[in-house]
Amino acid sequence: MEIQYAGEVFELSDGESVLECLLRHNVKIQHSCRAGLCQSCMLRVANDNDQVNAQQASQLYQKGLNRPLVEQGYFLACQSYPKLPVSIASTQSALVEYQAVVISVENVNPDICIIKLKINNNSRPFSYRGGQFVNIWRDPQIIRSYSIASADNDDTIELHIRRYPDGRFSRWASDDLDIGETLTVQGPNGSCYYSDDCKNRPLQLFAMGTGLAPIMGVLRTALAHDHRSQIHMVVGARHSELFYLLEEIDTLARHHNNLNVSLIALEGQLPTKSNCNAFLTDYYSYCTDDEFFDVTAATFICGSESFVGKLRKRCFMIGANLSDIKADIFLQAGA
Amino acid sequence: MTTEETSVYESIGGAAAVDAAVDIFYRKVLSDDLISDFFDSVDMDGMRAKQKSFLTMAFGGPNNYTGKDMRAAHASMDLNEDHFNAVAGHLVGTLEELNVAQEHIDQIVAIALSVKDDVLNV
Repeated sequence: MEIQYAGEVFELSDGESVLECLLRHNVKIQHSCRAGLCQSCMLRVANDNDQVNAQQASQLYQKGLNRPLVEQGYFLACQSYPKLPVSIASTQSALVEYQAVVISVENVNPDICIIKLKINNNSRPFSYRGGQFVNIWRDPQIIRSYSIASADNDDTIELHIRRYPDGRFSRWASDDLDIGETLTVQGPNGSCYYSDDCKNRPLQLFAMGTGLAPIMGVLRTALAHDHRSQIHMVVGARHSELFYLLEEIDTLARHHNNLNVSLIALEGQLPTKSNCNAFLTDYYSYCTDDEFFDVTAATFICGSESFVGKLRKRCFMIGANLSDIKADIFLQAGA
Repeated sequence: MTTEETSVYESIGGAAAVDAAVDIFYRKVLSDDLISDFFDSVDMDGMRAKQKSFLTMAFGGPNNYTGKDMRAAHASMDLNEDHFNAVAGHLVGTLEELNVAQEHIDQIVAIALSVKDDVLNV
């Protein structure tokens, strides 16, 4: 029985797990407990065809993995004994590339530029969920990851770019990128999206800065899927002048009774949006306040590493299950 | 008459017991300043998975860790007796919270002690 990994074919012996097979062939796969618990040996099914992936992944060991990981064909190599040939890859492996055309570029505030791209999906459908991310090439040396703020399977994807003064990608994107220009886009990837198991549960959406991009992806997807349970969204910025997309957010809050929005800034003027609550306060204490934090909710946390780290830990310590928390961490690329 | 040997892992409920214990244990170690740094990782899902492995092993459940694995895993942490005792204490506290019988707690502590030298790299 054959398995394929990173372009090479390996013969799987009787009774041998995927991990054992690859290690036997001197392929370096991280591993530790060999008991299906530590998740060090996580790999994914790799194919051009999502349906093939799903079918193959279902014969592999996925216990303990959250829904998005299962949906994307991730599995634990030490416990997987495939009965059918399967093509697998590391979790970091190459994603599919697409060409995309720039439709619009808009500097919405001093920090943030919103770009919209239309993906050329003639050869292969670009299927994504809002909140996943893509890698974008400026040139072979300069590649950055951005979260998709659009609802799933919109033709056009919306990305929010944080402008860094010396940012080799972000400066170029906000100052030099032209409408009609073509970019190489790779993806989608990531688990921070509205999966089927979110459907009848309350949602808690926590965004700071450009963490609003994946959060808007999740929110727009949830509303497009007619999500009826409570949605509590808390949008943070270090200064009130850095809030953006407030018109749309306010309109959504007006149209959807189940959507409750709070805008939190550390300083500045409180935005006066009639359908949102606004506060000048500490984000962390506000959103983990006993009065509205819901430990049964599907929680999404997106922003910088320290923001996500601090908030996720806090949610966990007050009783939320880690498996109910999806996070997307934004790092600044090295200069 | 034949007696069947049930492992302590099976006696206390197997994988379900580990599932019940892991979040309690994780919250305890994160609240303990002496050792929280070792468990305070941004990758909380990964860290939780490691706790599950550790608890499974400590409860006498299925695992394939060798002494060498334990040594390698803890080598760079500069651990001492106090650290070990703190973690063992939280392990016991977790089991007590789950109303595990004292005889089983004792058996689990014995398993934990059996890897002490490897964990402390002595």
